[in-house]
Amino acid sequence: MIMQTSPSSSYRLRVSKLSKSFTLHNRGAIEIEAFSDVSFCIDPGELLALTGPSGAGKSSVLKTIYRTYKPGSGQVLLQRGGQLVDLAACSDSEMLEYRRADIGFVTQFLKILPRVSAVDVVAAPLVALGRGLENARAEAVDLLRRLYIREDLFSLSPLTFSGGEQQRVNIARGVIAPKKLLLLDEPTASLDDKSAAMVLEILNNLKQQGICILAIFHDRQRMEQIADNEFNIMEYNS
Amino acid sequence: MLLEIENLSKVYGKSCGQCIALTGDDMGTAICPVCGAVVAVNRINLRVEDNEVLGIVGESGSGKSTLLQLIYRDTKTTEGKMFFREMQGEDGEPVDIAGLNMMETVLMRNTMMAMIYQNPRLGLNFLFSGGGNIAEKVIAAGQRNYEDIRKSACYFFEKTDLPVSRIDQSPETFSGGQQQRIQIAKALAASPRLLLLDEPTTGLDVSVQAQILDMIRVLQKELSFSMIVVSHDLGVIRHLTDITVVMRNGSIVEQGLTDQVLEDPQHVYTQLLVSSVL
Repeated sequence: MIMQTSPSSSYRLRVSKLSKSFTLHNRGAIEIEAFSDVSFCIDPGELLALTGPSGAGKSSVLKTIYRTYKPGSGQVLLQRGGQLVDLAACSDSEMLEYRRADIGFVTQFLKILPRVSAVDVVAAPLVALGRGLENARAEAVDLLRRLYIREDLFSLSPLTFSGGEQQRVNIARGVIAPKKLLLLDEPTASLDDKSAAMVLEILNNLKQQGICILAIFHDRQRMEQIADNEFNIMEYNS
Repeated sequence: MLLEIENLSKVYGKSCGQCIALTGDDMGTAICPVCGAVVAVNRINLRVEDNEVLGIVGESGSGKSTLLQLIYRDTKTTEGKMFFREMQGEDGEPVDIAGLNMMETVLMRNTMMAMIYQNPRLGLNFLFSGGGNIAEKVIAAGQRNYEDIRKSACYFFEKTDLPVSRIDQSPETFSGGQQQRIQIAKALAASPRLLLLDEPTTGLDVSVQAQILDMIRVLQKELSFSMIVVSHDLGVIRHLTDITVVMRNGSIVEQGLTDQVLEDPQHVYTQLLVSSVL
């Protein structure tokens, strides 16, 4: 097995020969390959950048690890405590538990209910951990301020915000209660330089806390500022 | 494991004995080709864990409501077993609730499991007041003091955003959305470990639907019970559930994490269903 990153026993996530294709029954059962035979490791505190041209299957890799897409073949091994679990083979109930406790996913676009305020959207992961509402909101406000969201927007639904503001709310929600593994789909897309720099600073902080991050960047320069290693899905596939 | 269903089947009509084997999604029909009996639920296996929310989708006649009715014991099982952890035998092991007698069924419904029907007339007694419907469960749970019973009824009215000032009025006088709230209040009064919901917001306007679904979600998280939600509305399923089961012709054709079923449906029927969203 070829490893882009240095093989080690201390990895947090190990993806091994992961493949995914879609069968479209209502289109004459044609089969579309999303990606095949992807293998890499990520250590605690490491940020691995997933690169490759548009359509190469980068987002599909993240979604397959998170099980929003059903894995085709291969393994997704996650270290949790002393236990090694295969996300590609575990039951739905187990996956729910791993999502709750171990894996965060910041998707490319903010998907939320239209009737929840920005503060509450960001505070929700803390509340889910049992933090008091006032306390969680205070922390959410701090984070939104750090990400340069205007104060007068805090009580509005983020769906009324601009693309870049929505993106920052999405990131704030994804990092306020960080889990051991963080999947990030284009965290700095549609952000200006000031906001993007702040996002990178926050990600750096997470790395120092030992969080392991798998991220897709559309901007090579920003990727190089933060990534420890790179996995190019196209080079590897060809 | 809160609920474990093994090989559950329900045949409506006089069975020729081969009905279950000759029907199901593999056979493309729920109607027995020999005797014409309807096999509404066909050899279903299902598990529900604590605090999990399971969704069941499928077209009309796919057997999803019958499945809920079998679990709630509204209708009699033809074959198969259902182990519900809260109902234990003398040995402390879960008993097969398909074999419960009437007294045991009443006990289960009063203290462990509750159902919200699409039609509030099935879930509420319209001869009692709204508060009276809730009191029925409170009394069944062992409360005998009038003041305490009334306090409990008021508590559940408030919990479900119902006007306490109207607690003595008949469900008849409440709006459709409020009648669903009374059903939910009554269900909560049974302090269920498992809540069954059969199209809970179908027929309500979208603003009321959103309020009620939000409320159900908050209550489920706060009180931590498991739910099985039957709906033909994929929006409701996306909003409420963790795991989704897709039924057709009485069989489960697909099961997975809800986001996976909606974004990466595997079965030909699920793909059709997901691509049919307006």
